Amino acid sequence: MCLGIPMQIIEIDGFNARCTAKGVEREVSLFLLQGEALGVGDFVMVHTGYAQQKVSEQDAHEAWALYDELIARMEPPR
Amino acid sequence: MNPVLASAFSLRGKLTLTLRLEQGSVADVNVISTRLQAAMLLNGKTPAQAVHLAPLIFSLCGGAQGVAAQAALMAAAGGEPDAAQLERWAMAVRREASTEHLWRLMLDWPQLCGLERLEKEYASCRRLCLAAEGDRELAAVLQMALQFDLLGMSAATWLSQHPLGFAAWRENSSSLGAALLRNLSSAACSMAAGAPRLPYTTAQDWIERGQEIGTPEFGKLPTWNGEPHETGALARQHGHALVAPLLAAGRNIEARITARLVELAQWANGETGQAQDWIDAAPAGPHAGVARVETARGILLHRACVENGVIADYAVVAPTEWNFHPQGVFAHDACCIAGRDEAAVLRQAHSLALSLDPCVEYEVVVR
Repeated sequence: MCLGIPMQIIEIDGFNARCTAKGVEREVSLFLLQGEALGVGDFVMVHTGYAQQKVSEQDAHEAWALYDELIARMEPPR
Repeated sequence: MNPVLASAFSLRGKLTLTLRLEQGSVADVNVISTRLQAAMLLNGKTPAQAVHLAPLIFSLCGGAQGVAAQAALMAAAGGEPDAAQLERWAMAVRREASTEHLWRLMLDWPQLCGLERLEKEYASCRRLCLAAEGDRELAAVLQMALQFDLLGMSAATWLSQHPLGFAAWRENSSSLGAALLRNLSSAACSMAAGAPRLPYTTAQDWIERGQEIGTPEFGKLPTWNGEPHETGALARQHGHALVAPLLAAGRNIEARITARLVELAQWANGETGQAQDWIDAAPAGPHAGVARVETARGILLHRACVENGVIADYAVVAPTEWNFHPQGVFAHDACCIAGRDEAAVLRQAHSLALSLDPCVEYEVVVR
């Protein structure tokens, strides 16, 4: 499936944003969300470099909790 | 990269499409997918949590994923949507499919063909499509996009053309849709028929196929009657008068673009079909349900099994797994690609991949 990655906006320059998740930064296009009120501190679901939708902080944390769970299941036992 | 984030980004998976050339022809095609069966993330959640989470994490086609989850879980609980609910779901699916078709046609295809991307126009259309509350509003938005950008004429006039009129439109129109088809026909190579297209199915059809649709193996390598099939706009529209001649001539990439234009034109023209054409669901035993949704990319299946109020087993079969099955339509059509050099083959392979519209990142390799 096409999993979106929740990221937090830390800087906006036109339709481009610098976003962060788990301490790592990525350039993300806000092109698809024109017309939405977006600001530094907001959370977006990112797919193939595009912010697909604005999400609440709680939703972002819920998605990350799921992904952390899946990553933990994938990690080989120590 | 932070290893946690690296793992998270790798969860999305990727397609690697490798074409091996021998004396200028494609000798074989290798499709490797690293996509995970991420639906397992919903196991252990309550149905209400799953309905909230499915569109959130599968965000690219979140509307269709949300509708499929609701329908499958309702069927698992022995419920049935009323006619109004079914209509709302079908409309939500078409609304999202409209934005996906327009994205490919106004942004991705022009970029691949060296034409101007209609960024402002797309952004405006997308916003209006997503705000449309009913089919009539959606039709008005699509009519504008088709008239002014993609067709240069009304949806009804374009749909009613016969083949000669269509050929004249393609050769002479300054619209983006015609320009794309001209551009692609100049570099086209004939792709023989052979990869079967998935027929219209209902949720019940999949239930009758047995339990295998809930297995990880089926989710990764789906088949119908034991064979991989093409799914998507072309599978739905292959018999349309504007699409069939292209297919008969082996111009499969152009046929897929035309099929998308046909669907947008039909929706603009109020031809939306029945709600059940787009979404239906059925119980698959006392605590399980299957939903089938037709998305822009093709068929999406959800199977949910609920025990003691929580999800015991959740499975999703996405369209990309059909179209990029190792023996599926990409592999079949890519074997027909011919080009004067490696760059030409690479361009054709990119066009073929885009015509099948994978929902993950992909890389095309020619060697």
